[in-house]
Amino acid sequence: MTYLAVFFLVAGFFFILVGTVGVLRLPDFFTRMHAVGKCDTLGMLLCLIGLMIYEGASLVSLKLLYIWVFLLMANPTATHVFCRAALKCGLKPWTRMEGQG
Amino acid sequence: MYYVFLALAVGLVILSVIVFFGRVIPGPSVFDRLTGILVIGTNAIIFLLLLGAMDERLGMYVDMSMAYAAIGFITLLVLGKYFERKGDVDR
Repeated sequence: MTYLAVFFLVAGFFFILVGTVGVLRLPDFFTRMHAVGKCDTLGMLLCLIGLMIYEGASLVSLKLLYIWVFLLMANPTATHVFCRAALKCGLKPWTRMEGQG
Repeated sequence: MYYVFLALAVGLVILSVIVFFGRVIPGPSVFDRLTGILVIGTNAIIFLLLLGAMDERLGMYVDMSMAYAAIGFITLLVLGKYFERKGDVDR
């Protein structure tokens, strides 16, 4: 059981690391949002699954399940609200320039 | 072994928060800053839970993370709707 929990923790932190690298490397707001909205959410959810497995069936893991469902709905919603607001404010999505490659 | 990985994970969360502060402070548009704050908030939730698991008193920390998740989400939704109305992104 501990090995399974550690596996989920490591998988979650791999995805959080990927999201962080994406925010460092990608060129504009929308692409960075793409990295954050998916990788970071998935990493967090996997990490919570790891904690839930280690905790076993108890009230604490029910509360962890509540946080899991809440983050699963909240994080993509916030990302969507920011993207729509940025588009309405006139932020242009990045496109590859002529002669840049 | 579990605790070693928990400590590694706490270190990774701290690293990620530092990187996202590098996006919040110089971020070219206001939405970059908001995104950074969103990710720092969710990382804070994970940070609290990992500290609770290392402390073996997860039942105390999980309540705090529930409250933090709800408050942070509502704050960021309101901020997003507010900046949607304004129209000027370079702040």
